[in-house]
Amino acid sequence: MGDIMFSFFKSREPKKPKRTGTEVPEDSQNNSSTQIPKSIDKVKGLLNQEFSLCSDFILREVLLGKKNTRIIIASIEGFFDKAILAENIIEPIINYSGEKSYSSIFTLLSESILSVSDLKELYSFKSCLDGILTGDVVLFIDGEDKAFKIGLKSPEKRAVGEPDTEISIKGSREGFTESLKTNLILLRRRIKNTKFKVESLVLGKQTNTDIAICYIQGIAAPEVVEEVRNRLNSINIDAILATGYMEQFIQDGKMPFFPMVGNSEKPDKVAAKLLEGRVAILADGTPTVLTVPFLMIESFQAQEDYFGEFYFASFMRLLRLMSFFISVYLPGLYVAVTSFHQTIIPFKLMLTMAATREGIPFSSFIEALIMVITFEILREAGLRMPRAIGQAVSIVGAIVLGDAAVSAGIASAPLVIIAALAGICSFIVPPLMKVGAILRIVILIAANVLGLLGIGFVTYMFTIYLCGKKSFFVPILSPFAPFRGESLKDSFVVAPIWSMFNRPRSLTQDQNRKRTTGKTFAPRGSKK
Amino acid sequence: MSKVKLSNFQLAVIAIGYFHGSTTISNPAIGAKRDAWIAVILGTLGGFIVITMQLYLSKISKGKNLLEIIEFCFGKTTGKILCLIYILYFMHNAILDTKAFSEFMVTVSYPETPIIVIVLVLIIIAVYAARSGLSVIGKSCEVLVPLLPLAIAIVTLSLLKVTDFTGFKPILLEIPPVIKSSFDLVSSVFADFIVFLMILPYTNSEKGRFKATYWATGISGLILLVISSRNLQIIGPALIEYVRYPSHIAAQLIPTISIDPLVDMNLLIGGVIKVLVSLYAISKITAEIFHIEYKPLVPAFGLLIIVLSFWAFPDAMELYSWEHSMGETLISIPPQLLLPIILLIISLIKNKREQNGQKSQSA
Amino acid sequence: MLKVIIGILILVLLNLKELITSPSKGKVMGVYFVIVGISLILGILLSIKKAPPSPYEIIMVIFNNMGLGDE
Repeated sequence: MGDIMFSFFKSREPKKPKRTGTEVPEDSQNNSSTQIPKSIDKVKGLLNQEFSLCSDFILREVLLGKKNTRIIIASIEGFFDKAILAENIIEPIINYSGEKSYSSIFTLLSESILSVSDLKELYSFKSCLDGILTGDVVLFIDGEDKAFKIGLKSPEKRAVGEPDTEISIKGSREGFTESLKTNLILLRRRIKNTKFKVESLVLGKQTNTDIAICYIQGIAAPEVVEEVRNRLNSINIDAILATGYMEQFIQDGKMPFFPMVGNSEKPDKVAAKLLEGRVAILADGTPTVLTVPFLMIESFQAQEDYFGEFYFASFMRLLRLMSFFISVYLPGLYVAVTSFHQTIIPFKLMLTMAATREGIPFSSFIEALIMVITFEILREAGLRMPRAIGQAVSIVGAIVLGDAAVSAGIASAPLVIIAALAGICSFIVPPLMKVGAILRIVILIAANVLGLLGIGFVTYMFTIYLCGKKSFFVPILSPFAPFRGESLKDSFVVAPIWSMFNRPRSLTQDQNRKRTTGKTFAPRGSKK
Repeated sequence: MSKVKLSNFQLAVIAIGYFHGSTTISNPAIGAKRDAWIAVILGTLGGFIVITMQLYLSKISKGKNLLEIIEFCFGKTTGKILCLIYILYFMHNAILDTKAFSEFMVTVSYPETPIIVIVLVLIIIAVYAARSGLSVIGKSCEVLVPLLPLAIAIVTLSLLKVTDFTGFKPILLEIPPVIKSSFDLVSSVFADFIVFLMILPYTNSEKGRFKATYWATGISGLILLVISSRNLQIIGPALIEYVRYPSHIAAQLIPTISIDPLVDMNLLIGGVIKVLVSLYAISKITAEIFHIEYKPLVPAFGLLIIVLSFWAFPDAMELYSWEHSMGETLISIPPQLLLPIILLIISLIKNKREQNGQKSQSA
Repeated sequence: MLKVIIGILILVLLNLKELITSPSKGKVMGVYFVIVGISLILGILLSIKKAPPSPYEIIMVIFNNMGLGDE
């Protein structure tokens, strides 16, 4: 399988006309734009023209050796520590006393003078500009049509810390940062394997963002990797500012109603997904990493489930599933039952409910709709408000809107409970939060129109819709449909990790899917 | 059209849903009153026989669907005309099911809703699913059909307290009603499996088909047994003839809470699957006759089913009288029994001829 | 009666795009409009209550006459 992968990669070398992303290795042939002018004055002129009005552009001219060859060092400040530039590049050049013999200035510089570890040759002016923009230092030599690119950067970045959105109690607290290189390191540290492949590309016509595709060769299905490459390469957009932009381009279906691509900020989670045969997509500037293919059941899985305690984990898994259903169905069920099927409610409860509903001007549907939307408003406001006012607003939300609404007769107490419960349950399954919010309202409307049958109608239609959806060739409702009994070990219950013998069948074509041979017991002492 | 194959599990699941769709509407075994359970068992056995015959037909036809089998036996033009019988028959099934479902819903739960709304609900789901293709049908059934036995189990278990098991005796006071009921059961529930001859060629493996279908038949029979016995015990043999919707009454008789909408949801799933499969079969056959794709035809046939259901059974009484007349049984005999047997015989003869022909050619 | 016609029109409009872009336009549209046509006629007849008797009634009458009786 490795050969096939390699040949796929190789066939990409000659550029296809439609592609808008460029790939490393850059510049192996003389493709695209202009040659580097041999005259250093021309180079200087071009650089000043390109970077006119860029006050952070630095041009340093030095002389080399006895012949006083002019060398220009071009860079953008801020990307690296200036002391390193001075010590490792400028100082050796200036101090060179010209003792050794050399075939060309080029080899002289690269082999004897420049004491830097990341050195590349460039042949086109455009790639020099790209290099400068990425934060590297570019060296131009008078009389040569090649240039050097030196990588020195230690960019500003956030320290690796706990991501806000995914909290973990027992596992690693590390979260991805905005720097692509750091993120790749976080993954490499966990998967120390040459089969862990990282393919780079650049997307975004204006932003030229670095993107990386990661997968484990031999476990990930080659068709999926190929498809990921194709879809990413066909993205034609000005800017990739976040992985979310890419997500919309590569997911199956133009406007899917359901998340088709997984997001995560935790390296251990992404590493686990890679080991199951998924492909990860990282973008420079975003701490969120995409994983494909994405199954619906993944929304309910948390890393902690695998750290032992599988009874509790199974319980939690079921609880999460139940919460999702509560969050989506409860308001609709309430409306359906009170409007159409009053006979279901036990008599005593009906009395109290009727009492609370007295004096409320709206029908239960309008009431429920108001409450649900109010909860969404509160949630969104909580997300965006500055910390300082946080306390005040939560008090307003909880007490004023909830309690006072009941006292004022705008909403009934059961409904406030229902709306709040539905809202809180929606937080338990973060990836499905947005789908849940919309579904909740749709089911509410359907319940108002046709009661339980309306809810059944929406459920059925949505199920049929989901059954038809595939994420990168894998049906998203696996393992329930198509039914793969073995994969149920990790669906709504969590089996102990030693019993999950094989990697999920829907994700990998690996013939030998064994990932563990089961539990082996160490011999307990010796028999006497 | 995709080359996607159904798995045998999906086949079984669709079959269970299909059989169930026919049962909850009108349970013919009730005619045998006390001995309904015997009627059910006999009916299931009869069902096994008829289904085996139909499965065998599919097997010796080696991957042809119903239309192709008929063409193989009767030639292209006569075959296409004969298919009309099946189109009409499946249409009849769909209409019956639609009307029964909507009448039930309107009578029981939604007395003030215009019946067209409920009919639309059913047909829209069926059209959407049929258009999405076999693999989606299979997957959606995989997810939803397990809810059927679950709901029935919940209702039955909740009723255990109120059930008395004395209603079974005396056994076999009168034999003819039992026999008649079991025949009715076979013809209205199990023999309709002929529809699946349009789907069978697209399942995964040939060997698994028999096993999967037998499992489905067995499970459906078991479910029917549980339902009939439970209804009989709860409502009592004397009253059961006069109750229009026994399962619903049974659910209402649960002591503390009343969860009869659970039964309604059961009906929705079963009813949809039956209409769905019939709709799919009709569209596929028509499409293959004219060599066009079937997807655009599905909504058209859905519309036709809606209109025809109103024309054929203008009100609930018409439906009732038709169901309980000989007409239903008589009308279903040709497509379910006669024609398949004829097809079987002709296919066997033709296959033998081909084999002999090949032998003499190679000799 | 108006409702029937409007309903059917909406259905046809929704399906029109698919009909037009299908490979074998002629046949598909032919079959489609035949079926929709039948429904339209029947629907209109039903809504003005001039519908012919349902086929099941006819069958029942035939069976009765043939002596198969009903229960």
